[in-house]
Amino acid sequence: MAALLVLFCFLAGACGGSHEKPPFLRAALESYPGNLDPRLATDAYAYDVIETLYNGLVKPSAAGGYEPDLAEKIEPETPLRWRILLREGVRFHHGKILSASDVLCTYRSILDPGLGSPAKASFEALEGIEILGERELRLRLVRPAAAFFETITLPILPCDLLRSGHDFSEKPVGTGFLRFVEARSPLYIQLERFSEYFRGETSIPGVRFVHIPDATTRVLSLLRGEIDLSVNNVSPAYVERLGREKHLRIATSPGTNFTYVGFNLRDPVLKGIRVRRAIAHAIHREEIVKYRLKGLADLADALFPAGHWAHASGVRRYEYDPALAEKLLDEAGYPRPADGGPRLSLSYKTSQNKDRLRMIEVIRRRLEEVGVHIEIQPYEFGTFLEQIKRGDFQLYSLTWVGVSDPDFYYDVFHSAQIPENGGRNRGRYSNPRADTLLEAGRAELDPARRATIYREFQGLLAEDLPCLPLWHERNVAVMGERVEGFELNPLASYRALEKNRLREEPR
Amino acid sequence: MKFILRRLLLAVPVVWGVATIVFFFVHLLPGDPAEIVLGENASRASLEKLRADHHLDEPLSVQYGLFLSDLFKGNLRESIVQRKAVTALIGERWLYTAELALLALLIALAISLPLGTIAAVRAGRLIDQAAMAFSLLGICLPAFCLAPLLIIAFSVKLGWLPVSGAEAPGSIFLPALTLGVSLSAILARMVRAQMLEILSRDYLRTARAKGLAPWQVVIRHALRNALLPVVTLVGIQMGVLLSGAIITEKIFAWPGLGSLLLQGIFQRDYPVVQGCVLVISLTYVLVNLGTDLLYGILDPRIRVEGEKK
Repeated sequence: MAALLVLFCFLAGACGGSHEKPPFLRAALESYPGNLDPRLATDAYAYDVIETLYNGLVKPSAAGGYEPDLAEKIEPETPLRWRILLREGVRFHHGKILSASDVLCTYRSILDPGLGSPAKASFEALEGIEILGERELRLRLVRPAAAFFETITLPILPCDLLRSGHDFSEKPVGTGFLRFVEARSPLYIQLERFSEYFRGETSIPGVRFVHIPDATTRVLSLLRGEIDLSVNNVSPAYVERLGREKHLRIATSPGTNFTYVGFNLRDPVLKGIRVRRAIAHAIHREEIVKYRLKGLADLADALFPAGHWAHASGVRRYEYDPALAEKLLDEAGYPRPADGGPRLSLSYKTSQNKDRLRMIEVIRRRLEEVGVHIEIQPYEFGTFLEQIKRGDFQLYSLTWVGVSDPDFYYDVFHSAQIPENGGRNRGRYSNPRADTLLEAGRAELDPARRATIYREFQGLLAEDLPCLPLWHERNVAVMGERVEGFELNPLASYRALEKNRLREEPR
Repeated sequence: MKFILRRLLLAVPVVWGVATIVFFFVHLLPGDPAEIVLGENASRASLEKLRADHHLDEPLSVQYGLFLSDLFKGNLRESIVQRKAVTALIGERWLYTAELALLALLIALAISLPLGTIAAVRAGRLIDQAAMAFSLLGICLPAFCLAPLLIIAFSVKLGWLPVSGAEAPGSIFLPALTLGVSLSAILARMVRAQMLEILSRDYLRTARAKGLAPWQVVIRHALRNALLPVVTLVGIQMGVLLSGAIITEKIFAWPGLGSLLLQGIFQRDYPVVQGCVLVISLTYVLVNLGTDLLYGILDPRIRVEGEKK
């Protein structure tokens, strides 16, 4: 009885609390960030938070290139000498003014083997740094490296705190428009407006990144108004339903996340181009986009979407054509058996993500129609990735996230990059012409010439088909009534909050 | 006291056995922790450094020896991913788990004891059938179904309680109710079955014949004797709850031990997985010990017989 009374009092107390809107914006995070020190961070969730707290010398632009951030000007004097002038009067959150020595200290700490920074590999092209003045420095490279722009997006940390051994993972200090208040792992990360931000103070008083791991709970939190903003973490199946709520708004924009079917080119069946092309023609991508993804994806022909400077238009496209698929399979030596059985059987490996499994189920049905039997094999993500790296697969699907420079192609398609050599060429693709183009692309600094090289490469890729491009997922933001002015860019970056406003009263 | 010491000493080989099994199973999982932590783009030097820092480059037998020697010193090591002491991580999470487990148990007892007792006293009547229907529903409804239903009712529609998290007042109530309802369903059936058996015993007829009020007969004489098997079940279930209710914790973003363990497994964070499982096995040992001690309080005959030995 006493227990019942305690329970009743507890319930009464809990119900007494009113549902007030806090004076900060609440954004949902699917997973709690591993580390907020940008030198040590590896997961996308950490970068979501980090990009609001810090700035690099440059930042990715909406068109896929880079634009100055902490740097005012970047002048490649020669392909191996980059002269950089920093902005004037940029302050760190603890009050220090940004100088060239902060850049030097940050890059040196990343290169320090004692830190074990995962970003160290991206600095392999850096030979040295020269300080030319309080705000001026020169980067010396060992080889021309266009992709080095991506490297210098890495956030700059204050030299005084780096020297004193400050723990940036516990208390991040940067130059971003928000500054760190507290982190209660694994519940939330609280940030507040930085009044001395170099682009001018943002109008949002603060942001709380709330960790909500369950997809259904995220939707219910949006419905209840406990979350103001959710970017790319609501399943397409719920988006339409949420859009019907009066207090919620949906914004979508073309995205860069690229989903594909990977082929193992060392597999006796899949090394034949006709089989790969037959599979490509048998998959009805439009159907999946329309019914499974609720229209929240754009069909892809290559890694970079329309609008990106390296986008290749006019490459070979594989339309849904089951008759052609059957013809190609006949030609490849896999006729339909007289007993009505399948022409051939393949395994299709995937993670256990429910949306991904539903998508592969539709692909399986279409492939069965042309006589290709598919056995879907879902695995826990770590196990799945390990098998793909080992080459223990025939077909698999994954999504490349956040790729902005085509030098990425070098990592995933150059013959020197097969996983046995420590690279990510998982399909074991090898074509001397492709290797030549990829080497030329990374050494070329002129954007127009780079674009030409990568267009040719992507044309070659579409012919050889080491992987089948499926679609680019669209970015989807679900916003509560208090959110104003959130611009969903192709990178779906939380940097857009910089220009945001938070309404005091519901409309 | 001797009994408690003997039981605690017996726990040592149990914990050592669990630690050994977990150590080898965790290392059998495919996936390199260094690559998972540092990402695929990490340089070989960074990968090798991380492996060396955590002795992952040593032969498995050497790693096992180091693990046992650290364990003996009470050092559960540092998380590979979060770079924090595992004891600190578990310490933060365990409090949340314990809080949730206790409230869930309280809810379960508050529902199941009266429900089971009334169902037994009114056996075969409408109230009995309704209680058993509730109980069946509670057993059949898994947490991933019940939890969203509770959120929709109490948070979205009524607006009484927060959807998830552990900060807002009352945020513990829905996860505790989710766990408590399913536990209460099992307990209510057991209380009813035990009460039905005991209510037909001779000593209760005597108690009634001596003129005791019906409620006194039921509460003071029948219920107390019906509780022994219930305590056993509560002990086992408490062990389960204190190990972290993984699904419920995930749905409600409750920062308990279960979600830490799951995260550790996905990230191949060996020290975290080993630390969590050790704490869970130790919890089971202690809860079982507590259950055995409770037997003695509820039924003095067990204590006396134990002392005679």
